Amino acid sequence: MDKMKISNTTFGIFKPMSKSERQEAHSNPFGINFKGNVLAADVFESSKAKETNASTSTNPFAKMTSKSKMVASAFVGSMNSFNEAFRSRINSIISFGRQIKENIANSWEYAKNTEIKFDFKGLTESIASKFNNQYSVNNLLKQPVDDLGTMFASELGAYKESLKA
Amino acid sequence: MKTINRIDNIIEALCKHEDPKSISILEEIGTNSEIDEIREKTAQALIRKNTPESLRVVVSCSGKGINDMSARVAMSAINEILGLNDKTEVLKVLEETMNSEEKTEVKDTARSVKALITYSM
Repeated sequence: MDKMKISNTTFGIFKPMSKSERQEAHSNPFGINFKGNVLAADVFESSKAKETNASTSTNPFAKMTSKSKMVASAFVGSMNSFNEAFRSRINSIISFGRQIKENIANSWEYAKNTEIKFDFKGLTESIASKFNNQYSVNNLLKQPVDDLGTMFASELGAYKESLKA
Repeated sequence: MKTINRIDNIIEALCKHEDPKSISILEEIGTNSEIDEIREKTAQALIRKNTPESLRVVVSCSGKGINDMSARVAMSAINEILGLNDKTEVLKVLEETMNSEEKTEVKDTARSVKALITYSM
């Protein structure tokens, strides 16, 4: 008599199962994978429940078919995932706001500790050098005409030389 | 400061100077310069002075101001005359030049400029 080998057995318990097969063999046989969201709601209903639903007119979901319930359940599942995404975004916004706040606080601290200097002396000197220009019209007007004539002749000579060069 | 800017300021100072000698300095050095640019600036300064003496230099003197051989200098001088707010003095000088015994070219130029002023007023 041949020895029984595991590989030769036809029992299902030793048969390796694929992932989809394992999902089918889940403890919740009605767990339908709908775009990654496992429907927690029981979309099936008993005949007894159907009768009670038909009898009660106050429940707005009484006339919902099993298909519409499935869609509603999927919608609720997507709502949950939306909430998670919304929370993560809100958290990122909060962290961004905190970062901005910290940056502003740091800038304020930096501004408080920074000494602002304004060089009035340098500014005055630069303005004075502008206005103390010997060849400014205002300064030239204070000089006698003869001096202006001499300056005119000398500057004109220099200009001629610069044009020749 | 560049040399040309210094010259500009000196000419401007002589233009604003109240000493009558400033006119003779501008005439001797500026209008007799061989550089067109300097003659042009000097003529404009003499016209801006708007005195009978300064206007006579640019209107009645041959080869100076509106009678300059350079068209650029003559045209800029005429343009400066046309731009004067008070043209009373220049009209007097032009009339005086037309009736004087100056050269025919000088008289013709003065007549033309006077006609221009009359039409532009």
